Amino acid sequence: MCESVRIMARLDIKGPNLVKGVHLEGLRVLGRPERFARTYYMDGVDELLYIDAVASLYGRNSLEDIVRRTSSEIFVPLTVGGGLRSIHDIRAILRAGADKVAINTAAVHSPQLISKAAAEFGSSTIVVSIAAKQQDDRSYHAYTDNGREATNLKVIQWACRACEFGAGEILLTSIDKEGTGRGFDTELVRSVADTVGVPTIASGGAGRPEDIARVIKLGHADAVAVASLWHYHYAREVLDEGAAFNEGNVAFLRGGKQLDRFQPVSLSKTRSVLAEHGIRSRFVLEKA
Amino acid sequence: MIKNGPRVAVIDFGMGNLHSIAQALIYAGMRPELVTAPSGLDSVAAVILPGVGGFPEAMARLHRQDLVAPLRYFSKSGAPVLGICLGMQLLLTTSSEFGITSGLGLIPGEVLPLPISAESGARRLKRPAIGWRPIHWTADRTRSSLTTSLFCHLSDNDQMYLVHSYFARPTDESTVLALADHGDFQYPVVICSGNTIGVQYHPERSGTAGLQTYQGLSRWLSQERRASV
Repeated sequence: MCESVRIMARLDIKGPNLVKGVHLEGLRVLGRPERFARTYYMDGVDELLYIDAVASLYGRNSLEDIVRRTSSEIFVPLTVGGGLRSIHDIRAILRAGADKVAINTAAVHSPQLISKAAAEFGSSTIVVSIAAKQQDDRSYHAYTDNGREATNLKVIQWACRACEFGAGEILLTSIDKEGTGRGFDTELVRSVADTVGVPTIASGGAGRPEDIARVIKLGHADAVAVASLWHYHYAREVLDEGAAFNEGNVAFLRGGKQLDRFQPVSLSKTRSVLAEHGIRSRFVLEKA
Repeated sequence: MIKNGPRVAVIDFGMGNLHSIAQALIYAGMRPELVTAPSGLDSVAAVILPGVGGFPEAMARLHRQDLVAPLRYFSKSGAPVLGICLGMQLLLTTSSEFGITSGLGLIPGEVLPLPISAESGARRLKRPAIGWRPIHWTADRTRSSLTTSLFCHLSDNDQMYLVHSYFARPTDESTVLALADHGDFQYPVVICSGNTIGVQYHPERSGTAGLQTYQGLSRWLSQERRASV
């Protein structure tokens, strides 16, 4: 019997906008992150995850403002990542209202950052984010810089090492599956979830709510981060006034070919599908 | 910010999600004051003791900031003290995290690590335990006007957000108001002694159910203020 599983909304942010891509690139604007966050909060999301997709280009202030605004009106945990390079950066984002931070590139370059941050802010505050891409020999390597730069690090070994340094959670994104709607890489998730002693958050690939059930039951994910599956559902209802839209994105959202593989659903529909599969989550105490 | 809302001290020893707590206090009509020194406890109506991180470091900082005795004094005065997460654990007598450390000793008992294997032999339990859990009330929530205000609007289905690796075990079971489950293991999540209350969950991160704890505190403080006029 599974413990109650967390489902969180992942919002990739570029400047002031919520964006969505495929394989972590080709970003399209969907609207304002705060607006989506508010909707997710009111619809009962368990947690929010903000990832700054192009941190180095826009600097820190815009993200901090978004975090500040969001944390003043939503009362569920908020994790923020993307371009956090130092204790100073982490402290600033936590002060702006984040509850947890996700670090990838900086942790790979200097794992001591993990232990220093854990000592300063608490292990449970520090999430190590791993972007995994399958290699020709079928092993998985960790990538940095939001999936752009390859390393020689094998994902499982790196995940274990990150925990030894004090990571409180592992956020595991499959670059191969991300944005495709083709389902999660359950083998990848399971290989990490079964090895580390901290919770593993699976990210990347949900096209239908059943995919979420699979990565929990077969992948042993402790939590699941969902992006496209929900954004494309809620974006249809929430067409933002005054956001940085262009016509191409509006047509995309109104259901172009690219959405074929997705079955966008609401949060409550997601929970009832999970319940049908015997998975408990927030608001759902009894398995169906 | 509510101009006339009750003033509530949020103890600032550099560890904890102070911003979220302040936002929740404001939402519920109270005025948060971040307090780093004893003088900050003068003329506040209640104290919130937050905390995220390690027990020994937290106690070391409270000592360095000369807050230990004043917090004990405040608690004994009968004004509300609400310990949240690590803040709840600090209320106990000792913790075994990184060696034995003394806490505030306001609620006798000890702080111990959560187990990592379930008795039923199912998948290993992760630590920290993170997630939404139902709260099982095991004792009378109406034992005081304060506990009534804080907790009586919650239903048995309300789930709260928990994130922790250690749990509090009071010596006196009558101080335990509610339990939660970690696999097969049950542990206290709400404890109280007089008007000193500890909640293992984060009421400022548990959505509208959690905010009821803050709204209950606000209501109680406003009633107290009217009663004393």
